[in-house]
Amino acid sequence: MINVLLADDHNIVRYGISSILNTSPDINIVAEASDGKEAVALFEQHRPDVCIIDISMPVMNGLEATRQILLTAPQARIIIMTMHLNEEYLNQVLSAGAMGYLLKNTNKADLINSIRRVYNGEKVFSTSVSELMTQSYIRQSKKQDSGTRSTSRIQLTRRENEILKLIAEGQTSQSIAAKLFISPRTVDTHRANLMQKLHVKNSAALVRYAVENGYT
Amino acid sequence: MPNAESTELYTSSELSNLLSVISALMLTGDDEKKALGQAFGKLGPFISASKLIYYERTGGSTSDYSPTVVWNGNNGAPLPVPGLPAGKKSPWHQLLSGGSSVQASPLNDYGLPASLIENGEVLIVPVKTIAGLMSFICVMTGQSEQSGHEMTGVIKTLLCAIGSHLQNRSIEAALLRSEQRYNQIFRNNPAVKFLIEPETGRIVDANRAACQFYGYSYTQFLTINISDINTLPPDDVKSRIDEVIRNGGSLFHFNHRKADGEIREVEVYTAPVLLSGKTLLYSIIHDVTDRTLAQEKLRIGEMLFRQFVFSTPAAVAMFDTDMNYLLTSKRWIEDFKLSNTALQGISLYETFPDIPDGWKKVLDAALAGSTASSDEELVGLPDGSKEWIRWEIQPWYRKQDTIGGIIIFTELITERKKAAEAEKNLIRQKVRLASRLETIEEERRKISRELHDGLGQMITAAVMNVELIDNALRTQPDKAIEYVESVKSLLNTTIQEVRNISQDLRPAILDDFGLTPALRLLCEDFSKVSGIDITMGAFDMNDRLPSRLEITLYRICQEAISNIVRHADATEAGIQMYRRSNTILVVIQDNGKGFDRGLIRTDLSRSGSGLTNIKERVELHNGRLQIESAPGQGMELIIEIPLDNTTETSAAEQGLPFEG
Repeated sequence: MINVLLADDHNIVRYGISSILNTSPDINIVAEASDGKEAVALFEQHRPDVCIIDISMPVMNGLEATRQILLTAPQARIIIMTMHLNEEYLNQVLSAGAMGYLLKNTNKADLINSIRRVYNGEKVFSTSVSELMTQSYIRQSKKQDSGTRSTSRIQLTRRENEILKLIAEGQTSQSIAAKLFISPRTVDTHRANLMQKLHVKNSAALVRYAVENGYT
Repeated sequence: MPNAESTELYTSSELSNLLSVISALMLTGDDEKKALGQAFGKLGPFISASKLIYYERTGGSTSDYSPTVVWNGNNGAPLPVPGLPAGKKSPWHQLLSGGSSVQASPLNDYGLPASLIENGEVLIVPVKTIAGLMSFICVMTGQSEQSGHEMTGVIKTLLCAIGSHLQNRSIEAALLRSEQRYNQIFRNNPAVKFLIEPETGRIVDANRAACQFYGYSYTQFLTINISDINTLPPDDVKSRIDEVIRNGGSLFHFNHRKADGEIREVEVYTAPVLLSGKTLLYSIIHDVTDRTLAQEKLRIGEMLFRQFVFSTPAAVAMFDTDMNYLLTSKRWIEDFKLSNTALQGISLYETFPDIPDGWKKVLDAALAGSTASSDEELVGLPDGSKEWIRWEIQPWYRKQDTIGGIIIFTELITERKKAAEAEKNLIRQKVRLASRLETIEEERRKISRELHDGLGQMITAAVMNVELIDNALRTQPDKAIEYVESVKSLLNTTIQEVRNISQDLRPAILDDFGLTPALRLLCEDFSKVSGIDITMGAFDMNDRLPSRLEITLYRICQEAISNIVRHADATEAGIQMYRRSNTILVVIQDNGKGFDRGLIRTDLSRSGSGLTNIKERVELHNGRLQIESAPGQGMELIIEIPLDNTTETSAAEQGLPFEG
């Protein structure tokens, strides 16, 4: 018997999901929460095997609830259910430690199946989510092949590169501004941005970075 | 030689006649010598051996005598005329020091040479001439004269008469002169004068002007006392008189009563004078009543004028040609926050030490005669604050058309300017508000249409399908399953459509995960749609920001990227966010066609300009927007928003509808 905690702020959704799950003899819904905070509390109380948690919930959202549950119970198996289908959501969900990402239009069979698989330790994703992940992966590798940027090195914008080069040459903000036809204040802003990006504290360090990385 | 009984002796009456004739001659003629000569001639033969020398005093010193031989006897031979011997012991000297009698002494006593006359006598008569000088008639008689002594007697008498006539004449002349002087100085002088007897205060003399002024006749004047005229009590008058006697001349300011009772204010100069051995007080009176009145009027006039300038409800100041203060109004001191020290005589430049050179030029030009004004100008006050003022500078003129200085008028218009600015801002805000409301209405219209056209249709279709299911269930169960599938599909599409609309209205990712993930998604979506490579970078953005700020930044980036995609013709774009200690910095750049930065400065209040929306949102959060662009050089938007509590309340304070 798989004990399940259900967390969603909409009654009707919970009703729908629980209706579906009740048709399966090996799944038992032990608790229902309508916000993240309640979900964390109920998990503590009931220690279910699998949690189905919606992201968008008041008080505490599903992602935060996931993190909190995993803090106290790192082995908890959590499936995130959401309407949203995009890479960002996926990244966040996976970084939080969830085991599954299902869209809410998942059909009955898939839902039950997913619960069983997660119970067994597998990660589950809706088909469309998998497709999304593949597309993203392909895009990333394309970018890497074209070599326009490396993931290891800190990425500077074109303007930042320009300005770093001129700083390395020892030019003042005034002369850089004159050269690039922008205002000195803008130059100073970019200088500060560079220092922040590159984690350095002063212009001298900027110059050093520039020299070390072939800007002169 | 005639004998003593000769009838050629003059009788006493004949002598008297002779004397009268001579007197007449002496009285009428001016030339004493001539008169003497003529008179002596009358004596005729009796004085044929005599000689008469007239020693006329010609100069100031006692040796300035010029001798003239008036009678040389019948001889006619030239006579050497001796000069007057000098020496204090000489009898001449005695005469010189004031003797007035006719001396008859042996010639030797006078040191005259014996050759002059034989054993004769010399008669010397000192005479004060009309000119007031002591001259001498010197007659030397010879023994050969008839009745020597008698003739001497006659001559003596004659000479005495002549002498005293001359003396009288000169005294008379002196008296006349004195009289004339008296009249000029006193009697007829136009100034009011009188003489007072100091012991009693009695008026002993008064001139014509005094009589006219006071209204007393001369005789009346001589009966009254100075106390009758001076309004001070008699004791005070007496003490003043004593003061003058003691200390000499003094100037007084009194009130004097005229004969008709009118009181006049007078200035009196009184001095003690010695006249005929008596000390009198000589007073000159000057009626200053009118002068005093005029002065008073002037004083009042000036007081009024000063008061008028002081309390005039404008900031005015009057200066001389050296730019020293002559007058200021109270407002001038208040408006320019000058300290309350007296400004009289202080230079303008001392009160405004930091006057710029342009102003100095204007002031100099005004001193040269030109006027200048300005409707508004920012001016630094002495206390360091700055105010907007309206000013006007003009020269002022003295009577002879010479410039005496300048007058500066100023008006603080900072408040007015602020109000005008505020009004302008208000109008701008209203315009923005109107355009924003328009936008809101348009969006609502769009949503309404999407809901109606899109969703409405689909749900209607789904309902129709459900009815078909209803029918089919009875007759064609397989068909029913088909309909069920199509209903499911319709509903799924509807759900997606709802999601899209919802996403448009409010991206859930922003609420759920925060700004950085939301922007990353935004960039991805736009990239896919446009083919532009849009990157996103966030630095030190780990903590979430206040949700109002997050939505603002999201919308800003959304607007910016949307513009880039639509208008910029770019191939690359990016959003970089930096969190600093108390600001958020966002840099949005693209490599598109850019635009002329000058165009940005023109009025951006027309709706539809994406930059306007961005600018407004930035301003709502008290932030700063910097735009860098040049044609062909792409564009860079640099947005800086402060992180503090005010960002939360600024929109509410401004009362503007804060739409997300």
